[in-house]
Amino acid sequence: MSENTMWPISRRQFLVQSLLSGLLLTAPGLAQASPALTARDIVERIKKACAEQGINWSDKSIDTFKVGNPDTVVTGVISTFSATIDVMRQAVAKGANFIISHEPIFYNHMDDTSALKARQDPVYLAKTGFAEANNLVVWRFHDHFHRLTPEPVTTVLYNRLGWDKFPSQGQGFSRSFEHPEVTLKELADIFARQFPSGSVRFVGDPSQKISRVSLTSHSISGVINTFKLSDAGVSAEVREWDSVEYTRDANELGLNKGLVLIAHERGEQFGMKYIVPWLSSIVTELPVTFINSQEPFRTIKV
Amino acid sequence: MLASQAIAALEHALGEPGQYTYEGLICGDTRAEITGIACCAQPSMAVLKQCVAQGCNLLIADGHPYYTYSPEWGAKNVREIVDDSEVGKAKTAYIEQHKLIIVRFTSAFDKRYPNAAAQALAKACGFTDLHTSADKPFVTSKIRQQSFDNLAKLVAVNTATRGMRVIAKPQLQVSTVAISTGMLSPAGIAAMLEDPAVDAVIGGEVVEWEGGPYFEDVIGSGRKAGLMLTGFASSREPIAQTLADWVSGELQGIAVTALHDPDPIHAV
Repeated sequence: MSENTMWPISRRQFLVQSLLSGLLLTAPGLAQASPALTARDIVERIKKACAEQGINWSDKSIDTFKVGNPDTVVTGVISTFSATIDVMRQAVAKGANFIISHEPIFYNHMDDTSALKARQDPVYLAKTGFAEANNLVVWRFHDHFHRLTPEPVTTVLYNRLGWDKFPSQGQGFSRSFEHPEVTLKELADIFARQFPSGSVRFVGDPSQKISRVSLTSHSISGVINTFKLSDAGVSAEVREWDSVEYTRDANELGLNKGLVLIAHERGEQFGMKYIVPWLSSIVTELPVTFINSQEPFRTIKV
Repeated sequence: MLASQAIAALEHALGEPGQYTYEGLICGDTRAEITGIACCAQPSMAVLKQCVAQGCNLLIADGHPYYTYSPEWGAKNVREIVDDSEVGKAKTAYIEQHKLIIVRFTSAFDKRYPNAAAQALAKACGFTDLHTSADKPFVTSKIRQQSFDNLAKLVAVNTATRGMRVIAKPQLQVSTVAISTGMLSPAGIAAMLEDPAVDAVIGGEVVEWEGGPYFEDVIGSGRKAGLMLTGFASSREPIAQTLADWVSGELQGIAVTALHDPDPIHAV
């Protein structure tokens, strides 16, 4: 018999399990007493702190509440890359009920849940059931996060890789670094070691010499731009039918370009850790904790 | 036979006028006499060179030579950006120099034969006991119970995939596989998991804020299942032969060649 004959589990089953796990894991005393600070209060403070950096808050952005009642009194704050069910469980175990997630909660950029609701998606029901049972609130911090100074993702990446010590030209994704000469395979190995990551991949000749590198956006236009500036680009996710194919053709045409691919999560996770001191300075009454939502992928070697 | 006649016959067979964006005639002069017909998954530069070497001037491709696979993805001006790029210019020059005619019927073909690509991949994976449903773009197969990682290695070897990624516990035991190709959306994954027996899902790639976290939550919600991603190119590669067989059947008397380009991705 399949192990999945009980899946999708019923909403009631999942709620009971979720509530039980919350009661068992939220040990008394872990949730620090707070002067009734709500999730909405915290977000207002974040908006104010952003404004102090000159960031105009856009109400049209995707940085909105996704789960729960914003007026819920917060017991602890979690900063994470992706509020998966596993991260929610960890948050509950830490006695925290407010999660700040960089990426969407419901599997699309706008967190549109209409299709999930229409098909009574069991994963969606499990996730919202767990959140409800544990009084969780989830808010997304993406667009304005990337506008913080210094920009958290690239700051952490450059620091981890030591690139901030290398001479460079340009800004943002048009910044090209002089890198001590390595092969494309060695460059990919550096990423696997430094992050660390079990899913680093690359396109191009493994023995190709690299001495200029750039970070690359998710789009083919980013890859095209990178190849004008550098021998290799490094991207935390591209679409394979365009960027990978473009790189394949660049090499077939003798242009000798490399593209290193790391998981989106590896590229951005540690930016959410980087902002914890900043968040702690904004929310002084409560613990602010980073939860590593973990690299989802690993590669299979044959 | 003129290229225009062959294209018209194939469009007629699909019952579609080729109204899809980025599909139909991509490049070339269809008034030309056909010197040979080839089919491929990705019309990469390596495939174009094979096409020329084999004396073919009509290439029927699943992918797009200028990387605009679907209008649902990417900026509206992608084609302009590619056309203006070093690679785009060189590829166009090669296509024009060799008078290649490139045609895509991907959406019409997928609509007419919803699980042809999945069947091709499933067979390439080595699965034999295939279960299909006329309206579903995936197939399922019962297999000997084994660990997920064992199955993933088998699939990687059989499909010559170098960059296989998985979301799964290594020791998960699996015995029913659902196979699809290309991009797996959350809805697509959910459809494959409707059968509670399915414990392994195979596809090409996922958006890492869509299908990726959806599958993490599949596991997080208690489903004992794993996801293996062969990469987009590897997942669609077997359709080259399927297309060649179809074209050969429709245009009887004309030899059709399937052209291949191996997985472009390496894993560290």
